Amino acid sequence: MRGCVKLLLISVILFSVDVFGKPTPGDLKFYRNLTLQVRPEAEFKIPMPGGNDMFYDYKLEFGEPIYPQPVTVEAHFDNGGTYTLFFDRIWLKDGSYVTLSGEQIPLTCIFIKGQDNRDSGNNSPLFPEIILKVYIVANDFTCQGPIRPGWPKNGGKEENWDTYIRYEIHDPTIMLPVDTGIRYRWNEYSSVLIK
Amino acid sequence: MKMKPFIAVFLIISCFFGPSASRAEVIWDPLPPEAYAFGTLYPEAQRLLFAFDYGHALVYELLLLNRGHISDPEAFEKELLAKITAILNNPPRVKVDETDIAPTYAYTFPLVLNLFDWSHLLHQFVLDVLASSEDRGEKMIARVNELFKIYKSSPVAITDQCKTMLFMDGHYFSKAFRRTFPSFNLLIWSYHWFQIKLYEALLKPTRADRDAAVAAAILDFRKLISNLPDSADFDMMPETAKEAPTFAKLFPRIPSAFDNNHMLHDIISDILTSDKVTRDKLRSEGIRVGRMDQDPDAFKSADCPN
Repeated sequence: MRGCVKLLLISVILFSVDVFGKPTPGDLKFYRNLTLQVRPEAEFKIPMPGGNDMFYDYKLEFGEPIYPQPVTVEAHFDNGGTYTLFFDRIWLKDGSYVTLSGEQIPLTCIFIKGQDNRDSGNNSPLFPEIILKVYIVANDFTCQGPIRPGWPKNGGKEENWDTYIRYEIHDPTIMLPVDTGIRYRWNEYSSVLIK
Repeated sequence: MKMKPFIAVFLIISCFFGPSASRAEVIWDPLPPEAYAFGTLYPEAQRLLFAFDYGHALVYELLLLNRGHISDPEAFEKELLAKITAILNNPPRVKVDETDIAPTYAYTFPLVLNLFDWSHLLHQFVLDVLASSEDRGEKMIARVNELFKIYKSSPVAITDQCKTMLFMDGHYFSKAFRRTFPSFNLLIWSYHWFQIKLYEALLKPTRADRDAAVAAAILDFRKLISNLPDSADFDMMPETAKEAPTFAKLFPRIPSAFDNNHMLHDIISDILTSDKVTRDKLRSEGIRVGRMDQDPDAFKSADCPN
């Protein structure tokens, strides 16, 4: 009986640790490395009717991290599996640019919203283990967004970034940008990756 | 179990609302409780400050849009002065967003815009504390210093290290604005003089004295701009320590932060006016001079006033 109580107690503790599992330092380093693996240059096409396609490309160089470590949040699927949301922000060095139709616009920081599904219990190859939503931000030298701080109490627009490149990555082994697009002065354009 | 999604959502939202590792926002959040108290106590002066923001933005936008096409600078200046005078005679009651008045300028000079916006918030909040603080001694001074500390923690803070005038006058494009548009330049220097004078006025010992000093500053400002260029006899940009010595003695580092902001305004005017800066270089020059304004070692002066 005593052994059963002990086993039950250990199980409860283990279950609690699992349910309230904090990310390990290894996880945080893994998430930070994912951010740093975002490709430093790429070129995209914005298909337009009539063949008047537009093109843009970017070149970036990582600077210092803004968060000492990525910020994480644990959550649960309905099936009981868990997933981790992670957020990261890193400065980009001066000299990082997106070039759109000949106009060179400074890129100032990168913001990542990630989802780690490795403990989700879903092993289908259609369900990515890691999803990164990448925002490569232009013109904001404070890197505060995407929601304007203090909104709506402080007034102004809900979002803070008028120009950014955005895409998703569903496979960290190849870090291929998918669902790519650019927001240019509040106008959104979908695009395709060229290289 | 039911609480977990709620907690997760709350934490997600918190993550978007201001990561705490560093304060990176050009939006000052949360606003200080004193924010815009100056405007409640001195509405006429506050409206003039809103008019200056409007005027700065408007001149930058028009210089940028008309770049390379100003065949008659005198006529252009006259037209610009007329527009600005109308605003100064009936100044706005609310703070205007620069991106609404000057979208092209805002988009071309993003770093400079961030630097100016952050600095202008410090300008405003210092006025607010000096105007509204019931304590006129150590608590008031400590509160201003607290705000200054928050200001300096931002990645878009202009340095409080005083710089030589070469920072303003030593570039290949320098003085283009004051040579081409002398009256408008004096108008801008008059703006800056008025802003500085307010700090001095708000350090008078009694409320009645402060009210009188602010009213006098408004009158003197209107005299300065009454008949430009003759009515304003500045040889150089007004400096905070000289025009507001009491303020400079109480807060020895803030005057340089303000002067560096004012110098940057003049530098941007020069960049926009000078044909030595080609259009394709505007953005990169804006970033270069903005970074210099943040760099304590760039054009560092050995002869700081305090």
